[in-house]
Amino acid sequence: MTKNKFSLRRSVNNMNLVRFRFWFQIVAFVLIVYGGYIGLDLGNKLPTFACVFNGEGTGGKCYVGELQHDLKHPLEGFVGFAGYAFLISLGMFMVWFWALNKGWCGFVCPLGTMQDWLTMVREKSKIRYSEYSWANRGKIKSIKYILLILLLLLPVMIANSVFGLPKLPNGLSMPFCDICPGRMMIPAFTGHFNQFYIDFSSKTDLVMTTLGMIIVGLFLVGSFVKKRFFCYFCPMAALQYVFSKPALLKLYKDGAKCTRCGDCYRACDMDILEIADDVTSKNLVTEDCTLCLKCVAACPEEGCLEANFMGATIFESTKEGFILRMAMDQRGEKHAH
Amino acid sequence: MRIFTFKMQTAMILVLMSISLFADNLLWLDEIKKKSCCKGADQESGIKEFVIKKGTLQENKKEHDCKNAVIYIRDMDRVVTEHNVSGGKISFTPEYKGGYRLYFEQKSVHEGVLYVNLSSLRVYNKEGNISQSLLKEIRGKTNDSHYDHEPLSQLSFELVMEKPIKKHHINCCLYSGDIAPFRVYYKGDIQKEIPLRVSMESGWSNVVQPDQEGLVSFEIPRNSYAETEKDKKHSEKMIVEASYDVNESGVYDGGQYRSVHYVMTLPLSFAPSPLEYESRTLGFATAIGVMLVFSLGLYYNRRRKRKTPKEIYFDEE
Repeated sequence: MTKNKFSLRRSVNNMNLVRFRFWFQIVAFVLIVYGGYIGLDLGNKLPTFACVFNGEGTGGKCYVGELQHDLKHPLEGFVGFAGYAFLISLGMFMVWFWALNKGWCGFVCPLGTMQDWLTMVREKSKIRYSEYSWANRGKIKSIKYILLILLLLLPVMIANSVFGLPKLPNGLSMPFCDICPGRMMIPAFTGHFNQFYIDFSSKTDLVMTTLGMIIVGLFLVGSFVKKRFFCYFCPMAALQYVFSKPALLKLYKDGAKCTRCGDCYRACDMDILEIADDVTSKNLVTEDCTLCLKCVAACPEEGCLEANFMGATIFESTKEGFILRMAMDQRGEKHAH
Repeated sequence: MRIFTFKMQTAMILVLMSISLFADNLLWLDEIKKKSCCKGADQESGIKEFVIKKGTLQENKKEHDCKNAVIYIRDMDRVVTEHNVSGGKISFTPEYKGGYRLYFEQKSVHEGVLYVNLSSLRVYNKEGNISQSLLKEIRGKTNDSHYDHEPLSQLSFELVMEKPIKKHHINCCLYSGDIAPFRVYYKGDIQKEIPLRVSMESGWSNVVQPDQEGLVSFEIPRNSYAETEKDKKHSEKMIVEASYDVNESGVYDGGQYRSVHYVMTLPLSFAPSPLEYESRTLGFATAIGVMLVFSLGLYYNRRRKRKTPKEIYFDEE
C-alpha cells in the first residue's frame, strides 16, 4: 500500500507537465466554450474569461461581466437587493477562485489557452519570440490595475453622479467587455464572428468598439510573438491577486534548497524574476503568476518548489523528474518542463 | 379542382375578415413602467404592475371589466401560479431575479359563442426577494431562455414564439430584420393552418400564412425612419395575433354556447437592427490593419536590431 502511494506521487512528479496541461486546457476550453450545447451551466461568477457573448455555447460566464453589471446601480440600491446580489456574486467568485487560485489562468482560461496555442504555432514555424523590455515592465504591470479601477468605477458613474460629475453614457456599462479580446475571439470558436464590428450609434460606442477591434488585432499578433502577451494587462489577474492569499492551491518555495540556477525563471511564460531570486518568501504566487507549474517541472532541486493544495503536496520538483523531463526533451518531446 | 380552389379562397377571405373584425376588440397585456422618480415604495417591495388594454396599438383603452379573468404566471423554473384580476390591474411580486411569463385568460358567452381572449407577455425582473432567492443568486443560473418551447397546459389555445433567426450579434431582444417564428397550439397539438395577423405601432399590418409544418414566420420590418432619426435604438411595439374557431357546445357561467372562438395576442417590442449602425467590414478591417501595422513594426524592429555581418574587403590589386 505504502509502495503504491509512493509510486503515485513519483509518477505525478515525473509526468510530462506540458502534455498534461495541454490536454487539461483542451478539456476546460471545450467545457467553457461549447458546454452550453450539452446543458452545462456553471453560473455567471467564474474567475475566468467564459464569455457572456458566446450565446448558447457558453458553459458558464465570466465574473468581470457580472461585476460591471452589479455595479451599475444607484448607490441607494446597494442597501437593498442590489447590494446583497453584489456581495453574493463576489462571495461566489471567491469560492470558485479559491479552489484553483491563479491556476484558473494557467489551466482553464480560454483566452490563455488561445495564447498558448498561438505560441505553439510560432514555435512550430520557428519564429523568434519577443520580450517586454525591463525598463517598461513596471509600467506594463500597472496597466491591469488601471483597467480594474476603470471597470469598477465607470459602471458606478453611469448610475450615479460621483463627485458632482455628470453621469456617464450607458454605452460604458460594460467597459471592459467592449475592449476584451475574449468577446470577439471566444464566440469565433462557435462559428460566430459577429462580435467583430464597429458601432456608430453613439460616440461612446464608436470609441469603445474601435478600441476593442484595435486590441483584438494587438492580441493576435502580440500573443504570437510574446508568450501570454495579454495576461500582463489582464484586469481579471489583478482582481484575482487581491483575493489570492487565502486560496487553497499554492506555489511554495523552500529557499534553503534553491541554488538560483534560474531554470524556473527561464521556464516562466510571465518572466517572473521572484521565482528565481526570492529565497525568503514561502508563497510565490505573484500578481502575474498563472500557476502553470512550469517552474516546478523545470526545477532540478529535490522539493525546492511545490504545488500545494490545502497543505498537501500535489506536485513537487525532484531530481528524478527533472532528469526524466530532460530526457523527454532530448527524445524530441519538446518542452517537457 | 377549380371548385376546391374557390372554396379555399372563400375560406381564406372569411378568415381574414374575421381577423380584421376582431382586431379592434383585441385584448393585450401591457406592463406599467413607472419613471424612476415615481417608483417610491413599489420599487422597494418589487411589485410589478400590468394592465389589460383593449383595441389596437394606435387606439386603445384600459379594460376594467375583467370578469371571469385569470392570470397564470410561469417562472424560469416552469412553476405556474394562478392569480385573479381585479379592477383591470394585475400586480404581483416576483421572488426571483429573471424572466417571467404572464398569461391572461378571459372567457365570456355572447350570442351562443364562447369567447376566450388570451394574451401572453414576458417580463424581466431585476430584483428579487433576497431571503427567497439566495440559493438562486448563489447558483447564478444563466440559461434563462427568452422563448417558450412548450405551451402552457392550463390553456387550450396558445400562440408560442420560438427562437428568432438573427443576422447580428445581440442574443436578447427582437430587432428589425430578425425572422420571428411562431407556432399555434390547440390542446397541445400544433395547428398547421392558422394564419397570424401582425400589427405594428407605426401602422404596418400583415397576415402571415403558416408553412407545411405549421411554422408561421416573418421578417420583422424596419421601424419608423422618423423615430430612428432621433434615436438610433428607438423601440417600437407590435402585436402578433392568432384566432381559432371550434364547434363545441356547452355551458359557461350560466350561458349556453354552440361554438368557441379563441383569440390570443402576443405583445412584443423591437428595435432597429444593429446592422444599421454597425459595420462588420470596418471592424474586420481595423483588426486586420492593426495586425499588419503591428507585425510590420515588429519585423522592422527585429531587422534593425539584427547584428550586421562584418564586411569583407578583397584587395583586388
